[in-house]
Amino acid sequence: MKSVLKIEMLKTLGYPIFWAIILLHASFFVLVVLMGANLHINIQEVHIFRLFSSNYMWGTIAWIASWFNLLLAILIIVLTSNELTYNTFRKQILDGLNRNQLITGKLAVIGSLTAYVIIIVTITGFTVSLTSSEPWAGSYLNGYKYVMVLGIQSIAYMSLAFLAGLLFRNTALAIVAYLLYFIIAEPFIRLLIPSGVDSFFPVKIISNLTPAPDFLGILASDLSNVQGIDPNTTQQLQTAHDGMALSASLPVCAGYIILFVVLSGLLLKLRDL
Amino acid sequence: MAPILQVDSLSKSYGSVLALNQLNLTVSKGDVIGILGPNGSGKTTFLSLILGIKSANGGTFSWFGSTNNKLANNRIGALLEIPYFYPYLSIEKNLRISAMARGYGETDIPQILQKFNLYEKRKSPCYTLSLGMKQRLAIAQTLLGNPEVLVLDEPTNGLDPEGVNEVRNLIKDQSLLGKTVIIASHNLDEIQKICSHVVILKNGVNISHGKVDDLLNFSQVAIIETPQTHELDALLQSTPGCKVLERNIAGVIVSLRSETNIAELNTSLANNGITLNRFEVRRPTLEELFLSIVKNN
Repeated sequence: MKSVLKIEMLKTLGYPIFWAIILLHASFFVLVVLMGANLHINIQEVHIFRLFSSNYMWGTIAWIASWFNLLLAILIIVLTSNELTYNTFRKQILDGLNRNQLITGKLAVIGSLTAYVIIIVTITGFTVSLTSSEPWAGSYLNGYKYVMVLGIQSIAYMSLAFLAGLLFRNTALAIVAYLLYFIIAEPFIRLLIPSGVDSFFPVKIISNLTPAPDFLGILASDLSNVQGIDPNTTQQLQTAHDGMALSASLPVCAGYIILFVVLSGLLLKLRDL
Repeated sequence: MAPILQVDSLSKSYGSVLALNQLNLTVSKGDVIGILGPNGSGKTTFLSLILGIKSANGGTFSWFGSTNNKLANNRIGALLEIPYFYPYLSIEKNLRISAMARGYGETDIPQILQKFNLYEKRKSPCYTLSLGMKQRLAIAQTLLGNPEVLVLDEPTNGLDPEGVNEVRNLIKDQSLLGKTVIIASHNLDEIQKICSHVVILKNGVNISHGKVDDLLNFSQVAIIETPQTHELDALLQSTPGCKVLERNIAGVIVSLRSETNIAELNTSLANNGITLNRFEVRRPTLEELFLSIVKNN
């Protein structure tokens, strides 16, 4: 196990593309968050910077980070398909590793990237909260659960990417197939599926773990402090959420992660290298 | 003593194409076995199966007397088809990865780099290496951890004559150390110089196998040179056990069975009015034997 991790570290950290993608991921993510936190734009009567204020900040940052997870998924595809293109999975079998160890190695990379995501989001979040010009109400950790959920989402995106890399073998093809499924294929299929069932599709359920910032909820919260507003209106705004509750989404998402890993394992074991 | 490798009825097909058909083979400790065959005969498929890269459709094999073949690979140094490396990593890091995968220390890496004249280039990324250097690095990798068995598929690919000679000597040295070597190659001269046994495959079938000397002693070739090539052809076609291996302007080289009576053949040539410029019978080279066996099957 220790040697598998050392091997994975040596080959991943020595790969220039790995550093390029990580640098791209970190710089763009931090840039977007810092810009968002300092922008004063009004959308539906909600100022953008309100999304980065107490109670909402971690949810907003997790949502932004979720988009950047796609970059990490692409990185996993590149790392996986490279092993097949360079025949280095084959070489490691010749050297005495078994297929389970090859899977363990890549899962360790996924785990490490997830830890990186959690760390960078946490550092950025604390930077935003500590440098906020607005008074901070409550604990700095209010809503931090979304960062942990983001971690699970990252694992799900990357395990699906691992499967795509093994399935298509070719880097470009696997990236295109992954993005097409993500952006076009599944949303289109969901349109054809009865409402209710569509919520259980992998991309939908994984994406919903970090929902978009709740403009309506924030608006309702702000309006509830204003006298003369019908309480029913604010109630309706607060409940106007889309998708499944987090408590229901998480187990289904965990199930998908297990499914992706098992399918990847089967592909690696049953296919000739 | 249990054989190093025992292969029983090993078969592999790709779709409807049968790449390896019921192959049986026993390899004992210290054997240097050459796997020969034309392109597509199943040599690489056979090596891929016994190294666990591909899975067989039928049959079994066992390394070191154990059916748990997963534990065997770190006792085997293998080079399959082309060298496999992380192109962006240095020579040294690629060797470190191999050493770690085998569960051996990295202490013998400098020594191996020096042995293969790669020490000066150890920090260079592999994509900067020439084909010959990559091949040398691949062979260097196979020796990490001092494995008991070497499995080499076309080990001299891309090497210059000096490199070929180095590899040949290296394999000889390894066999002198009592190691078992299984080598697939198109270079029959090389196989003849280093192998104790050969297996000849054609269309996935073992068509001949045995000790190199036994196989060569069992056969003979005749070089017959004459201006009357048409008459010679007609006579040879009607002579049992005669197979034309090569034609040139001066005449032909034919393979003959060991029991063929040379005196009778000579008489027959004379009786048919064929004037001979040369008639020489000798032990065949491995290449001639190989061509004769492949053509006869």
